[in-house]
Order: sequence, then structure tokens, then C-alpha cells
Amino acid sequence: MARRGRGWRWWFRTIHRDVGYLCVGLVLIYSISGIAVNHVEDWNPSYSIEVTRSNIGPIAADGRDDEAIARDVLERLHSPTDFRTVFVPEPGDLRIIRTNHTVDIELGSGDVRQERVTPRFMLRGFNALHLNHAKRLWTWIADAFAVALIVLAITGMFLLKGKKGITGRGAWLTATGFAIPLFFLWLYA
Amino acid sequence: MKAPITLFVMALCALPLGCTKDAEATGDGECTSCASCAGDADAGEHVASHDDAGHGDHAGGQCSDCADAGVVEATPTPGAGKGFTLTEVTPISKILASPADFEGKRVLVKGDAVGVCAKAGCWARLKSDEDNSKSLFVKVMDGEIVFPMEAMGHEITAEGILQKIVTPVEKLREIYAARAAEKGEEFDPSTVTAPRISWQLRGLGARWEI
Repeated sequence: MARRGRGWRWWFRTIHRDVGYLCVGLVLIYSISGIAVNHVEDWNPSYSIEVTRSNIGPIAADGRDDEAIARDVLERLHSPTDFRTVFVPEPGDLRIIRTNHTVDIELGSGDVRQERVTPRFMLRGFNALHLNHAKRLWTWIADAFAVALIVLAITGMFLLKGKKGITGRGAWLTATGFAIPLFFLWLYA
Repeated sequence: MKAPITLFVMALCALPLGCTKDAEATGDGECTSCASCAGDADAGEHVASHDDAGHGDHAGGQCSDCADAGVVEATPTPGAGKGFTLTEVTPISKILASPADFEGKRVLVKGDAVGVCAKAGCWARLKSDEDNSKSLFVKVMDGEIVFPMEAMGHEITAEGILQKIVTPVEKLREIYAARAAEKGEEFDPSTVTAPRISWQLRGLGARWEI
């Protein structure tokens, strides 16, 4: 028999409090990342991509291989001449791939498009965790977090007694919380 | 008091219904037949690169911007197991030389990444081992495998099933018109007269070192 003050509600409060503390970090990571990836139409949530355009004048192949042309292009761009690989996306074009730096050039016109990629501070990692890029052990941690959120939701409903609890205002608010997503499921079905 | 509880119970009962409708609407969440992903995965011919467009053609890991998702035909690959099962690498050049011989077959390939999906990491383009102008398009199930942008220029090993992608004329015209509009160029639909056949690897496993 439970001691006075140690009924189920006490346990719910204790579990809600401690699991809540445990989840603060993950909730922040998932929610911040959630906002970031929600707006993926408008920005890249994981990388900052800087695109610059310029013209370095026509580049004649003169019988050179793609690698030699790539070095020539990089020299004209005053960029280090090391690169990882080259690719010809279309005849007359050349793509030079350096670490986090891609140069696309139209050899005939000399039009250059450069793309520099920088992982976004913190967000890149937050998104990788949120979207479970890591897989393996993180999958289990993410599952445990999901279970913890279910525990928080259920225990949270029964923290208070009376008219502000689940039998009063809590019921209306909880029902509203279910109704909102259901409405949109119906709306977009 | 009964009203909110009744609403609550109704909401719980309705949840599975809502989920079912959603699943029907979105299929299995995969975008294997998305032509703007498949883009220039052509083996034998050189067509306009879609890599630049690719930097913006995926959203939230669901290919929501792929206007032609689900419209093109693709080689079905039912029951394909994930991960690596093969040890022998098939040169990309060999696949590109006669892709029809590999249609529906599981292959292991290696190549430098010369294009990566910037938003969702859901595709990568691997350069041929013999020709700087040829590449194999690797499309993975969104979220299952995520190619990071840092993988550009690095060697990627991928295993999957070679699929033939057929993009109908009407859809091709839409794609090319959209690309032309982006560039502010004119596009004449009458220049597209035949469906496009392209090839892509439906990636089931991939690894890389950065």
C-alpha cells in the first residue's frame, strides 16, 4: 500500500519531473532542428551555400586534358590549384571539385559559377540527430526519447487535480491539441 | 464535462483514419521515380545536367518539389534488401556501356561524387571510372541514406539495383520549360518529341570517407 503522499499522482509527478529534466536537451535539439527543416523550401537548414558568379574569359582546350584546364581555371580565379576531381556535365563545360568548393565553368564564354559550402554551426549536427542520419545506436536513443515524450504527455495530463486538471480545463485543451492535427489531416487528405 | 472527454475519445479513434489517408496520399515516402532527380542519369547520351537544379529540387527529404514524382515509369524493385551484400565492384563504365544488361540487377559501384543533393542528401552522382563526362545517378530512399555535401569529390561506394526510368514527353516538356524559365530562356515544346530513357541506381547501401 502506498504511503501517504506516494500515490499514483506522486509517481506521475516524480516521473514527469525527472524525465522532463532528462529530455530538456533533446527537446531543444529536436525543436530547433524542427523549425529549421520546416522551412527547407526557403533555405538549406544544414549548409550555408555561397554562390558567386564571375567571368574569366574564354578558355581554349588546346589539346590539354581536363585536369590541366582545371588548373588553368583555378589559377585565373586566384584559387589554390589543388582539386579532388573534375567532371564534364555538358560538352564545353567543366566542373572542378575542391573540398567544399565547386567551380563550374562554361569554357567558351568563361562564365564561372562558384559554390562554397559551409556546414551551419550547431544546426548541421542538430539536423543530423533529428533526422537520424547517424542511424545505429542513435536510433535507439531517439526511440527512447520518443517513448519519454509519450510518458511526459501522459503523466503531464494528470499532474493537477480539480478544475484545472484533466477533468476540467485540461480536457478541453487536450482535446484541442488532438483536434488541430486531425483538422489538418482532414483538410489535406 | 462529458463533451471534452467524448471529443478526446473521438480524436483518438480518428487518428488511425487520418494516418491511413495520409499514407495513401504520399505513397511509401520514396521518390525512386522522380525524373527531376533522375535528370541526366542517361547512360549513353549526354543531356543537360540537372545538378544545379538539383541543389534546390528536394525538400524535407520528401522530394516535394519533384513535380513529376510518381508519373514516370521505373523498373520495379520489390523486396530489395538494404545494405551491402556484394563484394565485387562493377565498373560504372561497364554499366553505362550497356545499361540494359544490368536492368533490375543488383550491383556494387564506386566513383567520385560529382553531384550531391544539397537539401536532403537523397541522391549522388558518381563519375565513371573511364570518362570525365559520364556518370551514374544514385537515388536513395529519402532519409534512409543521406549523402552529405562534404562528400563532393570523395569516392562513394554504393550498392543497389539499376533502374530504367522512362519520362513521358509531356513531363519532359514541363521539366525543360521550368528549367528554361529559371534561366530566363525561351523553350520550344516541339523540340521534345520522344520520351527520355535514363538509368539510375536505386541505392540500397552506401558508404564514403570524408
